Amino acid sequence: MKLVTPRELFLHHLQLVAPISPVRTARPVFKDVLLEASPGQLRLVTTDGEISMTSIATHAGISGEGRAALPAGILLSAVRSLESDELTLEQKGPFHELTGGASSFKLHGEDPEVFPEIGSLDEDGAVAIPKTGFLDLCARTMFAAAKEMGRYAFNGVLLEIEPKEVTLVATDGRRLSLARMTTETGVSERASCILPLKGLAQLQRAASEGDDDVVKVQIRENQVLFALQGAQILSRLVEGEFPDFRAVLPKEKDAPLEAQIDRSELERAIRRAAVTAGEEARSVELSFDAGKLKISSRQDGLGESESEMPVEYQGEAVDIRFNPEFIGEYLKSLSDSAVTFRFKDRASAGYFATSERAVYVIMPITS
Amino acid sequence: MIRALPRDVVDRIAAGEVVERPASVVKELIENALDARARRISVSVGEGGLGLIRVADDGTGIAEADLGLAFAAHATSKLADVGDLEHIGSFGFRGEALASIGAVSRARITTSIGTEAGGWTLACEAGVLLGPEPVATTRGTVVEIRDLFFNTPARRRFLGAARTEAARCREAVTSLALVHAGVCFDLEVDGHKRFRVDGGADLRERLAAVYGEDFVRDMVPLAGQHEGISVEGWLTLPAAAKPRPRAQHCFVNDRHVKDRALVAAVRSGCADFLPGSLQPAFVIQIHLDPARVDVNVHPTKAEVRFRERDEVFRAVRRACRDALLAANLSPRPRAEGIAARSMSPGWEAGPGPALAATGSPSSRTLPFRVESKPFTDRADRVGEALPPAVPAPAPAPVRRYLQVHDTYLVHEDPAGLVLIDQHALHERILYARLQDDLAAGRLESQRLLLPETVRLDPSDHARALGMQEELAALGLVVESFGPDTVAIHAVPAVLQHESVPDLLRALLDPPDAHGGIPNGLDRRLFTMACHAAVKAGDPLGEDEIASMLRQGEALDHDATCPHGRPTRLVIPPDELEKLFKRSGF
Ligand SMILES: Nc1ncnc2c1ncn2[C@@H]1O[C@H](COP(=O)(O)OP(=O)(O)OP(=O)(O)O)[C@@H](O)[C@H]1O
Ligand SMILES: [Mg+2]
Repeated sequence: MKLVTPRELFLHHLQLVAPISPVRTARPVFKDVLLEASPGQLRLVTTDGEISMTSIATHAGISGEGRAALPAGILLSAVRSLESDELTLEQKGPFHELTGGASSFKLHGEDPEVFPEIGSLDEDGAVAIPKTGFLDLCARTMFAAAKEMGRYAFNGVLLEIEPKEVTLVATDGRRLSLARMTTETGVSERASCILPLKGLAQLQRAASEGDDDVVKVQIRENQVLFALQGAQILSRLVEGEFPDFRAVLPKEKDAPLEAQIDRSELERAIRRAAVTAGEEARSVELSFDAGKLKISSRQDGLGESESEMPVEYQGEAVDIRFNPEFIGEYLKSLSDSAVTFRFKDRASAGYFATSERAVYVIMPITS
Repeated sequence: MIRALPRDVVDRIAAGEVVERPASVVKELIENALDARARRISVSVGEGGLGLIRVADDGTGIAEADLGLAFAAHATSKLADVGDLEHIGSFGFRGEALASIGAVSRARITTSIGTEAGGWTLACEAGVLLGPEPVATTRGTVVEIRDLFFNTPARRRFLGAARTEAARCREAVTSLALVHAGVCFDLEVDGHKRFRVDGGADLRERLAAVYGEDFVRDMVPLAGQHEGISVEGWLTLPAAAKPRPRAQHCFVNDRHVKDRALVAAVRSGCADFLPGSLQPAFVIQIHLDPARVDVNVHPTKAEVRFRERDEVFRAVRRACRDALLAANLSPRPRAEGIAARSMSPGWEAGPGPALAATGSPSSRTLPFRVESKPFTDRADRVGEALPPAVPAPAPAPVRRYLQVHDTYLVHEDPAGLVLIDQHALHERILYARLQDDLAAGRLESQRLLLPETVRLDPSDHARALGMQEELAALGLVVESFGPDTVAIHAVPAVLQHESVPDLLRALLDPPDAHGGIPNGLDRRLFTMACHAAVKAGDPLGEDEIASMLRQGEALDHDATCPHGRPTRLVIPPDELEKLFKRSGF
């Protein structure tokens, strides 16, 4: 193959696709990025066997023809280290030579034919979801998915597409975050699947760049495809049954008490309390009383802390304890200035909400 | 034809007790059915096997002329002379099983070799024969053993509760059912169907039938040939390995054997992929020329002797290693390192998600922040785009502590040079804290939003429910959820990153790791501390070490623990001087 491309553009697209390829893999070709050059366009593809990403660079400055599969990590470092504005990549016998100005690299590639073929979007079954709204849903939910492996479905985020609504839900079994948006999806009945975190994170990354208005989503049998104008992410779905989240959403009687709390003040207070919340088992106590909220923690041999803040609360005095990380991660994911907290007693679930469409359920720590 | 074995053969057969417990009877009877080339084997067990064990097969049956010798000692149809002992191809060869069983029970064989010959039934009560009498029956054999050990009450006393013995019987059936593709097995316990595998099922389907689909999903197949030794089977992916494995089965020429060396060979094949504290679950089937393995070394045939041990070891190790090398070890879609970035630095007190995703033992809240070291080999680091700037190197701090091999801590104090086992010390600290918390009624428990259900075998199920209160005191809230399942509603907060089923099993049956702690609440607290503590191999930062030593000093006894290993060794200055032969200078 031969390729001539502006360096900046090449680097930008390589940076987008390279995080997909794994460092250690039994299939060497997974470490590679597939490059497909044609006049005015360069297509880059990486895959780890579960998730694939395609990024398309379109630019008059691109010229050349052909395909190559080169190790993504090394190619990226090489491109970063070259300084000229334009780079040339050319196959020379067993090597690919990457040249920029007076410097050059010789890189070993794989046969591009062994690179797995990645399917592309078939417009028919695709749902277009407004991009900003969808990214907001991602930010509000992803943190609540299980990070360690366990029950499989917990390691992903549930996506539900209904005729007029798109919902994301994530849980790790101890807390659950749900966010939904209203949009005309064009589907006639509910479709759902469980998205792996890595694929979603990759989408966040790619989508925050371009100036697309929508993300196109297509759910396939065991895969999901996200398409933006210059990028596509194809990801395997998480197998398994997602828990019945509707069963744990708040009902009036489950949480009769309600407080309005300033978000950033709460976030700061929780952060302070976390300092003395202990190391192995961490808990902070929220003590509600008429008009005020006290946040405290203590750990033997470590110390204790206490902060008080005014809140809108009329109910009886209740103390309830939570893992400070669970509250902190949630508050950080929000841009709203106030949150509503609804609860019942020290042993039952608490519910944070910023609107009807964004709810966070969290289980307390008891002793 | 069943014949009495000649004296010289009898003398060379490994002698000893053939039937120790109901499960050994189950195993012997199934092996007889398999030797009779049965395609279908139905087992039922009542009252833990002490009431009834019934094994029905559709095999060759026993001819009327032979039936009289079936319960005779040292009578077998499977071996003729001493030479045959060199290459045993059948499960049976001693002609001992039925004789031993018949001597301690009320036994009955009903058998037919086909319609023309008709059927015969022969009873044997405490060794005394009754019959045979003709009966109408189809081809095959039904062996019924009632009132096992009725005439040897001393033997009964050594057995566990009926549930435990039933569970052992089940284990005996499942382990044989796993490898005999082509044979349909079913098991009934006290009138309830327990499981069934079809004749057509392969090993993978059999594993799923016995242990559940979830279990098999985490396994990779292995297959290898080495010097005429073939190794096949399934092995858990490192990420799914547990401190206590659910199943480790070795079969040699389809015979289920217990062999530490084979387990060690599997472990050694996994060594590069698996932290030392975790155990892979596996099923390994080894096939080799019967002449190369001696099965006549153990009275219940649970052990075998290989003529070329090292070759077998090598074959197993290599097959496991190759399987893991070929497997896609990058975990299934799940929280990868990327999730780390969606968390603010202020909330990193939990384990690095990258660590958790690799299934390292650190996948629980460490008492400190884990150093970013493990991130260097994360997948998404390859193309890590941002930030390009390397943080300016901070001036190297003066180190007052040293961590060696990520396992030991070294520092000095006036008493001398102090060496500390990080796991032992941390375990000690946590143990003391958990004891205090328990006494003060503030042992914390994280409630679960989605209760987790765990399937248990009947004996564990009963124990879990019997111990509900005790477990709740430890923060584990267990409730019944059907006949063989419990639902967990809350877990001890220190252990909330542990897998719930593992945690439950560990607390039901806390291992007496260090000896001496009575099997009660204390041993369970100790188990919790052990699970939550940093492990050998966990890299620790300077602050973490300092904090741990400080907490250790606050304890009454952190150096010598009443029950276990020392947490620290101190080499006094004069000892050092002696070692360096400095005295006198
Ligand atoms: N289910 C069966 N179907 C057909 N024949 C059987 C069955 N069970 C027992 N036999 C016959 O009875 C004989 C005695 O069985 P037994 O189990 O006591 O000894 P074995 O299998 O020969 O040796 P071992 O003591 O090692 O098991 C067998 O050799 C076999 O011929
Ligand atoms: Mg036998």
